[in-house]
Amino acid sequence: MTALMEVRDLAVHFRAHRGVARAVDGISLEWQPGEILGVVGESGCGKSTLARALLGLVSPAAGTVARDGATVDGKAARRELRRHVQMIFQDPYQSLNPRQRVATIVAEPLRVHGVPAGDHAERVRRAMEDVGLDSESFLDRYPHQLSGGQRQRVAIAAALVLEPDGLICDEPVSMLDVSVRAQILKVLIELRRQRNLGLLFITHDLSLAWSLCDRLAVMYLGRIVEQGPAVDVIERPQHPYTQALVAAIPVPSAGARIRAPLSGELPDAANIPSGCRFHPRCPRRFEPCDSVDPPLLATPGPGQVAACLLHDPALTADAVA
Amino acid sequence: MTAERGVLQLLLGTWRGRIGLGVLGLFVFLGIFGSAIAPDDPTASSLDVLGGISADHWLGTTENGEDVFSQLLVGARVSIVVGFAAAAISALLGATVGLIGGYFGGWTDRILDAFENWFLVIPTLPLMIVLARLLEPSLTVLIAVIGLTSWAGTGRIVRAQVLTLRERAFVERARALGAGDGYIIRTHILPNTLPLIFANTVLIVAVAILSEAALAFLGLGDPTRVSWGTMLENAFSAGAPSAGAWWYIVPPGLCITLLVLSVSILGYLFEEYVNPRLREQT
Amino acid sequence: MSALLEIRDLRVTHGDRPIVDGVDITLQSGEALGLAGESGCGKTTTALALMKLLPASFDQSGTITLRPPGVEEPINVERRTEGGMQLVRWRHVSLVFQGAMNSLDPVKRVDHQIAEAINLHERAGDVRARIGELLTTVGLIPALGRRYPHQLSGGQRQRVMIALALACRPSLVIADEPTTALDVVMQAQILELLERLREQLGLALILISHDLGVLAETCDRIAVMYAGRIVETGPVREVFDAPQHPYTKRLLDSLPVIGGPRELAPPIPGGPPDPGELPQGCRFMPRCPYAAEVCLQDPPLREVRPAQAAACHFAPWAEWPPVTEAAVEGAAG
Repeated sequence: MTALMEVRDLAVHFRAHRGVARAVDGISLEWQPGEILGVVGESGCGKSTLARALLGLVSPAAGTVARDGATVDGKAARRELRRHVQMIFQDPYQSLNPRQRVATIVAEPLRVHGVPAGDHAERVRRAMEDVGLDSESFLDRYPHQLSGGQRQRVAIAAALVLEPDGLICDEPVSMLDVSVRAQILKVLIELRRQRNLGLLFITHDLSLAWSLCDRLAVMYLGRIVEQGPAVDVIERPQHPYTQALVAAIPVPSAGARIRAPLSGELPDAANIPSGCRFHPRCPRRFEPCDSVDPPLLATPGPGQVAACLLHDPALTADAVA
Repeated sequence: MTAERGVLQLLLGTWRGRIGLGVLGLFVFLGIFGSAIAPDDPTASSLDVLGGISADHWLGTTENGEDVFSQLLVGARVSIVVGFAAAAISALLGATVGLIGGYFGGWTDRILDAFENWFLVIPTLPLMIVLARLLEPSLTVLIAVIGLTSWAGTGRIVRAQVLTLRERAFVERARALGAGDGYIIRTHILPNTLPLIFANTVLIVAVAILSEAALAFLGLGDPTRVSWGTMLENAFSAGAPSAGAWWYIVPPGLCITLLVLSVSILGYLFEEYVNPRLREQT
Repeated sequence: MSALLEIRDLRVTHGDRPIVDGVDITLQSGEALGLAGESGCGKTTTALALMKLLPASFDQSGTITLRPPGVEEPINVERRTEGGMQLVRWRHVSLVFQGAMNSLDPVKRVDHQIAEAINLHERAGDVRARIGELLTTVGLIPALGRRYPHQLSGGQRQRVMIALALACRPSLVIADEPTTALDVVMQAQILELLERLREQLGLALILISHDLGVLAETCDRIAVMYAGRIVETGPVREVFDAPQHPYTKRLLDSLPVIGGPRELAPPIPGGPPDPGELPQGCRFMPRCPYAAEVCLQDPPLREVRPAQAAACHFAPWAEWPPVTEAAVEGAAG
């Protein structure tokens, strides 16, 4: 099967106060057609930069981005890519132009990609129906006349109007209330079910990622440190960082008690620690961790890989001995 | 509340708006029809030199015996034309430089920004005087000189606005769906800066009117046309103040003041509309 | 023992829109109360009203009585003037408000800002020692006090805000969404800190959050607000194990719990009502899958199980009938 999108050894660098921030630092990832792929991690781990690099919104320092088996290279290919893969953003209050009416906003991709004007009304109507805003009255409204949930639906409708194969969702519900959040998620899940829409779901909410995603990639400081089936990664994490993240999830049930699993904070992306980038905060680090940068290694979980030397049979045998 | 209603409400629903609009309307009317309704030819001299107020000459006469009231009516046109035309040039220049610099950033922005700073810090009036002296005085030269020296402030404000807009998610969204720079500037950046450009331009109209009066007063106006500034210059060089001919000095001075005041009031109203934070304070 | 805080029939209106509509809260010394609910339900307004910090365009009524330990006479907040409230704020009740970590003055060093808060309210002997002590209490090394806010991380700034709130040794701290902008790891660290402060300082805490998970881990009791009213209240354990109001139940169901069913429950349809257009009777009725005729009458908040109160005609619920998509659609229409 040809991947919907695929990145190889992708790196994105930014100029920072002190040197160069390696926001994405060597990532390879496949996103299959119709798959809900989750990318999780703390803010600053590079997950949003990865999403932007996928669409060519930031230019990579190294590596390739491919869609449908073909490397995306040059302006024309990028334009074609953005026709097939769309993106929705975190803040529904910021992502719509306040001076445009909903009808104009939703039809914008059609105008940009030169779809004949005669088709616009019908396609806008269909997209609005897909997100559950079927009343005609929405089309004439301005964003400030909508609730947060309705705005996010409008953003999704605008992303759907070109009938893309993939939708990159950057924290699409993290600013919404619980009940609205569930409504938006339902819309997204329905879309995947009905038209095999692939979703790349970027979030820091691990419970959500667990319930929603097929596969999960955990990012730390610009790298994927663990990857595998979503249920396995969350229920049986193999990387100490994933284990810490899972332990920090607040549980909405009685008798739960807080335990902060990690001390300290995410290091600066301009100053990535040597060896395993997680080793200064890692509760399970051992001798080689500050010098050896671990690749993604096979773990006991089927299809589950983790960038941790604990899974290097040679090293752990030594450590035990 | 839609945007359009907000502006109308500020203009017609407040006393400041009504007065500003009324006074400006009157002067624009004079600018268009002033020469048609003037009782006399404003340059027709007579023997009644520096004559006081009379039934023949409602606002007295000049040192050449011309009718001051007629000059006042005809002079409105120069002020209005120079004010609006120079402001339009200034807005166009300022908006273009601000938009391009703010949107594209990098070297383009650095060069434009340096240029802008240069225009911001040089003393405008002396520059205008030098430019107007170098060139043959005419209405076009006046407009060009004032327009060219007053755009930097607009450029600065537009650039700042574009810098924040550029980072807004809806601009990124437009890029993500494949829109080009031209499209984004046209449909997302410009409409969101237009009210700001407009409010700022209205304030520049006032500056341009004052600049025209100042240049004309210094003898750098268009010598073939009557304007309030040239009236004041002539009045002073003819010794009107010492002759006690107040009717020659006060009316053009008052007209300039009223016109600038009305335009400024409107400018501030637009600014309040654009910047809701100001609106809350009033 | 009488309660540290007693709020009776608190009402806040903005014009003719009721924002908070008859809220009663009792809080004991050292107790942590969670105030839950979605945006616009009145939880932040309740907190601000209790400190009399609402803008002049809001009207508030009801009694608010504070009995800080060591103070003879109870403080009747509702009768205090602005000047009188200044003696109460920070000394007895302090607030860590939403987005607080971005509200530090960017041009002043952190210790300077803490000193200001102290000097404003009391003549402390050794201010410098007190600042060091405060920073240590919130888990920062005192040397960080010499830094400017932009030199601190989000988590560190939030700790500074908590230190500021503790500056005058209040007996009650209100924290409005203190972890909303933070990541899970940092969130856990801040919650752990609040927990420790409660134990060490005997602090009472009102924690406002839309995140039920956060409240479950930090609070003794919880009050769920909807459209300006408390619809359910009780010990955290009881409310989470056996919710007695459909709104609480549906909110809990809509959160995925790792290890539980992965399938998302049918969402609560629609959105909360506009305070200017409240439905007749039970305010949750238009969104409730269990609504019936009787719900057109306003249900009072009454004790339905020991220590647990709910404002629902059908409470106590022995069991919850399953919610189908059809029922949800019906309620939405």
